[in-house]
Amino acid sequence: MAPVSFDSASKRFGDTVAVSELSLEVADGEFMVLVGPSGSGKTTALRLLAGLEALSGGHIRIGERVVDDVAPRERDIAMVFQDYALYPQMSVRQNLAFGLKIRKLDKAEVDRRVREAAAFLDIEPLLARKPRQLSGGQRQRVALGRALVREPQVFLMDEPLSNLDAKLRAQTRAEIKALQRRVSTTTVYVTHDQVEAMTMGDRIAIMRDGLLEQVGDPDTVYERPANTFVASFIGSPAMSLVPFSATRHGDDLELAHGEVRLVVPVDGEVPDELVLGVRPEHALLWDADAGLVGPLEGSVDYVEALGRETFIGLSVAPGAQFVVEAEGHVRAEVGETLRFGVRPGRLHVFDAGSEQALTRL
Amino acid sequence: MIARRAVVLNYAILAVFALIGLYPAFGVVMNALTPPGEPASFDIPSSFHWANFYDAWTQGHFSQYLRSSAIVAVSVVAISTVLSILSGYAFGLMRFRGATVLFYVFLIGLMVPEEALIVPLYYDLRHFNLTDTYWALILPQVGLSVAFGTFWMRAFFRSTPRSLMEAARIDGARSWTTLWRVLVPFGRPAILTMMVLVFMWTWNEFLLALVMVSSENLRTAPLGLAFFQGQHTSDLTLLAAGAVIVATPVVIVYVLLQRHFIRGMLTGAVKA
Repeated sequence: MAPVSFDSASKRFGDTVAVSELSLEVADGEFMVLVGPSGSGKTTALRLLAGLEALSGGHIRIGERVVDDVAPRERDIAMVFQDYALYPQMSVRQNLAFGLKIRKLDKAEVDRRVREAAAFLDIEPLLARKPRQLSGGQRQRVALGRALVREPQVFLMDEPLSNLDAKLRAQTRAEIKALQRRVSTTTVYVTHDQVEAMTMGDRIAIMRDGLLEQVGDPDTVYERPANTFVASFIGSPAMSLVPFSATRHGDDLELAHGEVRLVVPVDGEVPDELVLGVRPEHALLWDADAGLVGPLEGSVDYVEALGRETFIGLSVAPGAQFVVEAEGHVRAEVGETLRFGVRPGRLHVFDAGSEQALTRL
Repeated sequence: MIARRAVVLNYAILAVFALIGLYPAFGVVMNALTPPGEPASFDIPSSFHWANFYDAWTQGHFSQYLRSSAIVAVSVVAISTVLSILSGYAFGLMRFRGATVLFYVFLIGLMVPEEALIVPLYYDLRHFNLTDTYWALILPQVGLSVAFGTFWMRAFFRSTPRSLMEAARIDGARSWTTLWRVLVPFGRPAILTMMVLVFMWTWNEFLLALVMVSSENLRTAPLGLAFFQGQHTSDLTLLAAGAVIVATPVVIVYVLLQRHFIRGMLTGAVKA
């Protein structure tokens, strides 16, 4: 186990910057999730850490050691690949033992570790089988086992759940998290799925276009997104983001978007042009007694009835949509006009130019 | 779903082509089994006269020729397989200066016909006192086979999942271990296919043996067959028996390995 640190790590492929000046500290034993849309540089960052790509600039440390020029096999890491990359001609047992035999561990130790990992992952009955005789979920376990037996300083996982079906994915998510807690090995986990990031990470690093947008624990990135990108990327349904212009009247702020007007109390500085962000669970159908900010009026674009709750997309003006969460039994017709309000303190304010978070109203 | 009519049509077309391909072979075999005195023909003879093979074998010295062919073919297949795997690995998965140019140099070996090389090759080998030895047959054919083998193995290595090699690297394997313990076992169908092809080409090679070898005990089977033909121009039955003897090893090798051969041909075309 060891901490990991990216120090202005960069990677360019020709003219394309895949990772730009990434600085990130992963604590010893921490589960760090790198999340972002495709092309955000998260997988490249992981491959830089693995040594599968050479740095174009900056440094990477594992523990106290700078590993910039260290070969992957000498970094004391283990990686779980998206396609598992099991050796097809070897049995499960041989797959698990391969890395240990190459490192010339004595046979008794290899056997012990393989047995332990197999018991840990519940794959003992599969040891004699070849990868092609396994289901997707079983292959996934073997891939985890191959990382586990190595007892490395750091686990690297590159979207290991993306080839599983939804139900198995949810189950395996919990298992990987539990496994990591038990062995407390530092883990860097890459995914494009924000649900995986939120449920698994001790901390989450959100990337876009090779840049690190925000690092924080799941609560922080959800409650205090650093900018509009993080705000819209984390959370499902996504945070509604609508541009407004602001005019100050004493302690009140009048927000306007076309004909739409909203007045909220304010203290501190707010720019003239801003973006308002509201999470669906804080936008509710209008109830005069609930102490909501509003009301706002919009026409129904769509209704998503999920049983436990219903999400209603409401346009207050062309191109300005809020998503409102209502109780599961609530129904509405497309085109119908509804009024809604926002819980006080739950209006996220972002600067319209820089898109950076400013305050909450 | 393919309609039933299309299936029937497919089989009909395939049957026609199979017939076109197999009929001459069938005819030669029938010819080889014709009893002495009966006219040679492609028809099924009145009785199967297996002794023709014995006669051809002894009169034509085929045991000697087959031995020479086996020595040459096995050597060429073994040497060129190892070399092709190594060069294919380098061209397929390693980045090094001049890789593209060098690869095109290898491709020239595929493009230049053997007939254009044979005369200078003869003088070169004579200079090294290698003519009329097995080396005169083995070395040039290794050269020609490695050109194809490099091309073939490079394509295979390019088609292997990158993550497989990376997993081995992270597991601690160096290039050499990754190649022989992970990629070669994984690529067995492609490698066996290459070996079958090289074996067939080497076995059937005629011109090189004709030019390079004069001693009778070095003659390969196709060359021996040609000399045999010169001696027995009129005895078509015996000639057919000799032809069957010469062709049989290739057929055996192909039949034994055809399962891998088909899989090798499909490697890369269909995701495993």
